[in-house]
Amino acid sequence: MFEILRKIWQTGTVTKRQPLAEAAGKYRGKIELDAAKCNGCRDCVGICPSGALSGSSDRPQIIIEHHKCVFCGSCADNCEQRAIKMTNQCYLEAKDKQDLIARIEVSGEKCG
Amino acid sequence: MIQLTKKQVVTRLLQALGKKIVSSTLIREHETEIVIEKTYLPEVCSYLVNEKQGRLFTMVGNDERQHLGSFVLYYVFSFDQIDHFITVKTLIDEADPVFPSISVQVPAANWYEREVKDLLGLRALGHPDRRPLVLHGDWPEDQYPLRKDFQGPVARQSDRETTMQYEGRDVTEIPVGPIHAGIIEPGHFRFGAVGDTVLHLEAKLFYTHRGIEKSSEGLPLSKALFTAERICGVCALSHAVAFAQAVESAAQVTLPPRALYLRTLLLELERLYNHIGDIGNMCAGFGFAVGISHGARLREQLQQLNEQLVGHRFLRGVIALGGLRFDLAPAEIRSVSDVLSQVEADFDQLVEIILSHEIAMDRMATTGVLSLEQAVDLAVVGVAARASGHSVDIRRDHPYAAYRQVEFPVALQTAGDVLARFNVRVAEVKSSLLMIQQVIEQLPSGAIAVPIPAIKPYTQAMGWAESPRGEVCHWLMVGPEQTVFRYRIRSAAYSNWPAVPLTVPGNIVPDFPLINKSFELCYSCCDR
Ligand code: SF4
Ligand code: SF4
Repeated sequence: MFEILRKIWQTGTVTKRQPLAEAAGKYRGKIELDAAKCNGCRDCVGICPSGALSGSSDRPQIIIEHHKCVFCGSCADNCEQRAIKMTNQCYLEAKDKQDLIARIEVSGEKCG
Repeated sequence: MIQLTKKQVVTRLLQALGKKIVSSTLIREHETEIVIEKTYLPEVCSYLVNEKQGRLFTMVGNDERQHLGSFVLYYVFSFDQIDHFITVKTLIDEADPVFPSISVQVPAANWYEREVKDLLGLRALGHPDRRPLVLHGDWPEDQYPLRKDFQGPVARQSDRETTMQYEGRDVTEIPVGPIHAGIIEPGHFRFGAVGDTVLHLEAKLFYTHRGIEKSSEGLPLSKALFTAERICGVCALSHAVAFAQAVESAAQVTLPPRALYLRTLLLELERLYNHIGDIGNMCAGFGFAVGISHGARLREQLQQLNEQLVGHRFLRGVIALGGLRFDLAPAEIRSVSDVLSQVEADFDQLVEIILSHEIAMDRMATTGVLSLEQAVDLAVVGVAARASGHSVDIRRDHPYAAYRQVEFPVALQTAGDVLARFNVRVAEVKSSLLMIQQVIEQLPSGAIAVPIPAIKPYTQAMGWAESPRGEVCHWLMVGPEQTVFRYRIRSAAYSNWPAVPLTVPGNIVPDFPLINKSFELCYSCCDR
């Protein structure tokens, strides 16, 4: 019994308050697309395993549905323009699903 | 030379079957395939299991009507002593979709045969249990989702499910679930109890069936990897490695040594965070909050280490087909040693506290006994098997990654009770730490991945890994253009769940959560 109490005493408090400090550097969080660098080649759309990325066929636009993303990082690895990068943002909660959908107009001409 | 002797061994093993074998091919270094007529199934399988000590590894039903003109059943048996698999293949004609059941002779085949009826409509004649398994009773009887010509969605009908009826008036029926008070996944348990003592337990699972096998059909292999990674919440890496190995084996590529070593390192990290967390969680079975909290705290440390190493707390997104997606820097490898030495010291204390606690010992010892015989009959794997004295460990028996290069003891206990499973986990934590140490010392430098060449359509291959819960096995048939044609996932939970209800009778009702925790099986990777 005494041993147990001693262990508890030694350990102290381990619970931390939200929001915590930043996630680890390698952490793959919300993706970010730099519209200026993107040429609209849609390689990322093809590689995404969860269908989080799509493009509309009538204009140069990439749609990111953050709630579908599984944070695998394939899009960032495969974008030759380095237009997509993984950030370590981990707080993605939203009241409305629409808030998680980003429609990004890109400057590329290759789309359509 | 070695190959030749192995071939001889296998030939000798199969000798008694003689003319029953239509053809026998060595399809890979570790795998022989024999084709037989379906009428010989019980005889052949029973011979392999009951006389030659084979172990039912997985069973796959496949709809190959398009390119072969019939359904095919594959029974894969593992021969641990000679590091070899023997696959019994038999064709089932569409016009006569039945085959003789082997479940009476080989009880481990029970679920597989019921599943193949549910999903492909191939009926095992003489199977003692004709109820549906995977698809519950509200699914129409003539719709088979794994057939290639299946057209969904289907209209559900009224439930035709039945449960055990007790005749004596003294038996109280206690239904629990499928929704539970805790955060565990859905499963329905029905106890027949007399007073406090459980007489009989029936478990109904497959509430979380997501149809992963069906939905991965036609996916490009590179994308299917991400599905494989999400079969199970906690054994993510084992599933990813098993799938990657299946693809690598189909493509016949050899991985660079660094990739193999790093896979071993990560796989052991996965075992560590699971086992330590589970040891803490088992304390919940007897309400020992200190144990739960400390287990959770150590697990958190390990998961933060995972996050630093690969960017994901459950080690997702690090495996690539042909190796790894990114390398680990020397500084990161050093941080592994640092964190682990801290965790080890704390872990030793935790175990000591639990094992010196009288109530803990009293609740764990002689509770939920799984006998060696039951474990062997049901082909139980992983911690549960080893706690009952069944020495199976696929890391030793069919080494993959760098398990051939590291030395580790296989933890073995004989009691088969909750305490034995606890002790096996403790011993495995120790041997994981040992293995990680060896990996870090021996870690070679060099490339971390090789490209996967085009794979011939309809190549079949298997991948396996010892996940924290036991071995997982992925059976894959590659289709045209590097897609998945058929994917059969057999997780450790699938092998072990049928054993759980056997261990409960004779114990009191409040012991069930403890017994269930000591097996620590997932629902979703069983249900897929
Ligand atoms: S983000 Fe990169 S891969 Fe995606 S469309 Fe733009 S340039 Fe192409
Ligand atoms: S991180 Fe993966 S899942 Fe998310 S958008 Fe990129 S490719 Fe798709």
